[in-house]
Amino acid sequence: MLALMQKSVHIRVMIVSITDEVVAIYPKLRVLALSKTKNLSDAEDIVQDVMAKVWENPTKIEQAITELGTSTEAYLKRAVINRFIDLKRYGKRFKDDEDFAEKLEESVVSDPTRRGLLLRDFLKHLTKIGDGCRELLIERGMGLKQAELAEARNLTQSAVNKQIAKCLKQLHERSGGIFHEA
Amino acid sequence: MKREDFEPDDLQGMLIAYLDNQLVGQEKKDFEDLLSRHEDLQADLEIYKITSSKLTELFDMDGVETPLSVEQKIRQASAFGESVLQSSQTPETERAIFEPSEKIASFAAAKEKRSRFFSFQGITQMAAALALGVAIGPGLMDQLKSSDGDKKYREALKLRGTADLPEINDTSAELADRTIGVSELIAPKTNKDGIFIVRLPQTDSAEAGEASNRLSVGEKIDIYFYPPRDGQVTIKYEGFDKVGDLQLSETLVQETPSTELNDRKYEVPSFKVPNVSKLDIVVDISISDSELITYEKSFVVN
Repeated sequence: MLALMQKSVHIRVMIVSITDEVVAIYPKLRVLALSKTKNLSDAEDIVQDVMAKVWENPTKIEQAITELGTSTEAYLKRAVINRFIDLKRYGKRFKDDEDFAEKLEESVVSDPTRRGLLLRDFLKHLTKIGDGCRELLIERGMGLKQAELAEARNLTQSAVNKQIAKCLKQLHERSGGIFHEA
Repeated sequence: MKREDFEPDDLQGMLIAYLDNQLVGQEKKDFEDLLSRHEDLQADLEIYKITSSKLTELFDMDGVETPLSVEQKIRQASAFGESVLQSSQTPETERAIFEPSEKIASFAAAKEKRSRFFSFQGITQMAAALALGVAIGPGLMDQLKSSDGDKKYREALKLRGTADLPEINDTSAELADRTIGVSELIAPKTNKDGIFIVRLPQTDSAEAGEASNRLSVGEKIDIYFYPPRDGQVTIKYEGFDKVGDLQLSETLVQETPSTELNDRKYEVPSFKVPNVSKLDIVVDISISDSELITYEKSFVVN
């Protein structure tokens, strides 16, 4: 009986904890998916699929997170990327939203101060540096590790480092180094 | 460490590795020494540092919150997930305490049973069920009663309109362009026929193509499908681990089916389910250079 109660309490604690984390991280997952699909509806579908997986078997997810020694946030971000790759592999075609840049801006920046406006401007430049660089820098900005970035692209870590350097320089030049002067 | 020993691109990559603390020990010291001698590299490092930190700040998304409507949906799905999980943990004996046929022999026994009924777990389950009922209302409860196990998750998680989602056996040509959510049981792209799997020993009720998308590690299965036309057949197995990394990729058969085969039924030699979490089976039938028919089927492996 005691064991049953403990199990029940454990489930409750686990569900509450995962739920809170999922609620907190939802906007980031949506942006991560949007940066890859360039289509808001498809991005939301991807996040929805990932979440459905979570509620399908939260115990399994918790176990996987523990085994991998990662965080729920990192795990879910990885799941979003994997889901995108799966869909691409299955031949899914994503149609770019014409106002993709605006949708990304609205999803990422809510701060109406001058700093927020600068970040918004910075993001605008980020949307114009090409799909490969945009995806790479957004994933890096979201905290994905080099090893994960390399794995998702079938590259070595040093190749990814070179690509990151190239993209960062491109973004810096395009944005006119706004933050160096700010 | 000399600058001439490296290509310019390699040096830029090393700057990123240095910035992200990937260089350690002697390599790090040597690189720092090289950096101290070249101002242009220092300037590049500064650019990478500032631009990276701004990207981190940007995608930290401070102040951006999940819309309330979405949060409610997530919490509904979570409550549903919990109630399913909690009830699966309850043994049969606990669930059947107050069956009418049961006789209570003594007051002590009745008291004990009452205390078991009002256990913490029982109250948790009742509260979860009540909260779920109040929060999502009868409309959604009807959806949860659906016999399609995956569909109920999808419906409970509906974050936006899914009225146009195809059913899993939808055979429309544009199926490949549409997301069908978690219940991708079978997704023939161009033909209503798909891949069928029979567990060994064969029984009529065990056809995975009908109802199940679950297999067990080590289980032996027979696979068959009905090629709509003759062509070169390639069958590919792809196994993934829990986080979706590719663990196995194997092309088993490559030959041309004959129309003399049992009513065009094409059978693949028995296959043992490998130790993966997810198994995808992809059948490509190449009719000509420009015509390719693909069947795909995904299985969860326990």
